Amino acid sequence: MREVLLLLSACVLMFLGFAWLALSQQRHAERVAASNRSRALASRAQRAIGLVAITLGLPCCMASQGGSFGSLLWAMLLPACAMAVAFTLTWRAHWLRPLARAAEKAFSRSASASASFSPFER
Amino acid sequence: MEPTFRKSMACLHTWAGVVIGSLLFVIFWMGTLSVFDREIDRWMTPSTRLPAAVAQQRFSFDAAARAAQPLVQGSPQWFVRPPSQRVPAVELRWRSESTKAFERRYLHPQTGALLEHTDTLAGTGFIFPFHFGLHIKWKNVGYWLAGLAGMAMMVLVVSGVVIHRKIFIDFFLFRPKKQLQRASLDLHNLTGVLALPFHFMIALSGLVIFMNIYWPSAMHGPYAREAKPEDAFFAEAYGSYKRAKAGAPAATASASLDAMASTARREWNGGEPFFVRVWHPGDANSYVEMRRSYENAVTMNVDTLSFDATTGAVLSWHTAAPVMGVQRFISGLHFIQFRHWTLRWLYFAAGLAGCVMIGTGFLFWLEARRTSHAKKGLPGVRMVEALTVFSVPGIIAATLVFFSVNRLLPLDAALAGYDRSELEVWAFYLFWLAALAHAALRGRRAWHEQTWAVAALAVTAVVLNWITTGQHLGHTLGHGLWAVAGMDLLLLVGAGVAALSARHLTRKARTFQTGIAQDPQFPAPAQPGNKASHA
Repeated sequence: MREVLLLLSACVLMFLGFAWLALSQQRHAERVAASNRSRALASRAQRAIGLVAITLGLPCCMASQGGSFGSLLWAMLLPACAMAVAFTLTWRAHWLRPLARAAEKAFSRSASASASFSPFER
Repeated sequence: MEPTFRKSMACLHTWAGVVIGSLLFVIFWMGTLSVFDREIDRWMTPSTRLPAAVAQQRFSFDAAARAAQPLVQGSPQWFVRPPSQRVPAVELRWRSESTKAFERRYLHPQTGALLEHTDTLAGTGFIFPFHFGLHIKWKNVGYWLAGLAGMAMMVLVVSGVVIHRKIFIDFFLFRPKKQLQRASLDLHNLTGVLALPFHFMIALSGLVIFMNIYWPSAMHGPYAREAKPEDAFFAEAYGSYKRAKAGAPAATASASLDAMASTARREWNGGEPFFVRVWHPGDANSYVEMRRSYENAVTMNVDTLSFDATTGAVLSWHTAAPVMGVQRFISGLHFIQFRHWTLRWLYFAAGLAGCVMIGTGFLFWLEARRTSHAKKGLPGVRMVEALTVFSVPGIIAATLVFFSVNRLLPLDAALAGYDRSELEVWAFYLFWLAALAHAALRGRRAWHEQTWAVAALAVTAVVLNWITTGQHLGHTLGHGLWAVAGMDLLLLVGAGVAALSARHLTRKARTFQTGIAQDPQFPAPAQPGNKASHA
């Protein structure tokens, strides 16, 4: 039971982490919010949180399945969760609306400070 | 030479993709199916569809050996595999004295009775060897082609990353409603980039498995002083212990295999013997080789124990040395013989992603050049299109024909000197050849015609299983026959995906002819970023 719960936690964490990453990109944020409203995004902080969530999947997997199976499982869950997010954005973007709203609330203040030339922005 | 590095990589990626893509898809498809090769065996050999409880009961090697005696009489070697979760029956194989080929039969784990024999190569005998050797044994050409494909895969993946300018911006991007060219490129990039570590790892590990084929001279370096360098290498790396026949019959009856198995379990700290081979049975120099199960680790161990058949004394004990251990770990990442269903399904999904990546790469190349080749009268698109339809929906349909013919042929089928298993293989190749002819004749329409054929054949296979065995999905799900249920379910899901794809391809072909459709879904980006290729 514990193994299953830890594995599920890893999947959820990684899916949310990738979704958080996707929502830090303007194109996907606008699609999910179903509006053309251009909003400044605190991309760097949002992406950091996304990456941390994804990375936290690794100790969850290892706690669930041991060292070697756990790390291999995490490595194989990366493409699976990322693709799940991509397909959700393509066909059921509104499912991510609660997450987008949470992102907006969390990062609405630090908008102007993080205008960036990072590779994630155009 | 192209003016920039990126342009050179684009040229390399395009050429390597077009030339080797067909071979690559075939290997990726057969490899993806091989993830569930034993489940395919269950589906194609109905008598081995035993419930899981049967496999879990206590197994006796001695009882299996007694049951095997009438079959393996006179054979120079025979081996047995105890029942496991994926193979609930006892698998018995021996080298036939007359044909020198290996025969395979399944025995019931408790009664030792011979299960009804379906003469088929099935997943482990046809699909899996196709993956690593293309069934071309002449001068190891099949292995070398697979190796070439593996190398090409790594080159393609690396060059693909170099030419993908907006790799992070496009990370989650997939726009199926756009023109076929753009949608294909989106999906090609998605399946390529998101599963990039997998694609690189699977190609590299595949090459590492066959290290002695692809680097044949390497073993002659450290073992140059030995009489036979290759034999010395294999003995030290893989632990292949050999003892020649004495030519005289054994003095006493053979010792207990179960006792040897207990010794093995002790030596391996609880590791189970999963493979027991008797060499020179009945001879004075007969010996028993036992190998350790792969179920509990990623590493495919080479732990081998050899026992004298009459006294039961340990003759040889082998385990992988450190560097060989690394090779065995890397091999294990590719072979996935461990017992872990989540990982197995994830590997299957990643393999399918690889197949989609190769297929959409072709679709993109074709769409990008369709008009210009037609205008200039170049044959490129026509040729590549025929080859692509042949190697993508064509081989999928041929595989489904292989499954369907397995259900249709009677158990004692034979024709023109070919036995039943050979007839199944003939059906596969003949249909595949017909798919090539169809693709050459029908041009662009062949895409959706063959994709519809895939959908129809997948449903046919499920129906044939129902008709010939009575074990439809309701029965298999209710009785815990997960292998058969899984296969039927995947066939049905595959049929659905094929039907949707066929419809999409048909619609997109018509749209292309009538004009470019605007996509209202995605807000247009500020710069003209969604035009054709990257170079």
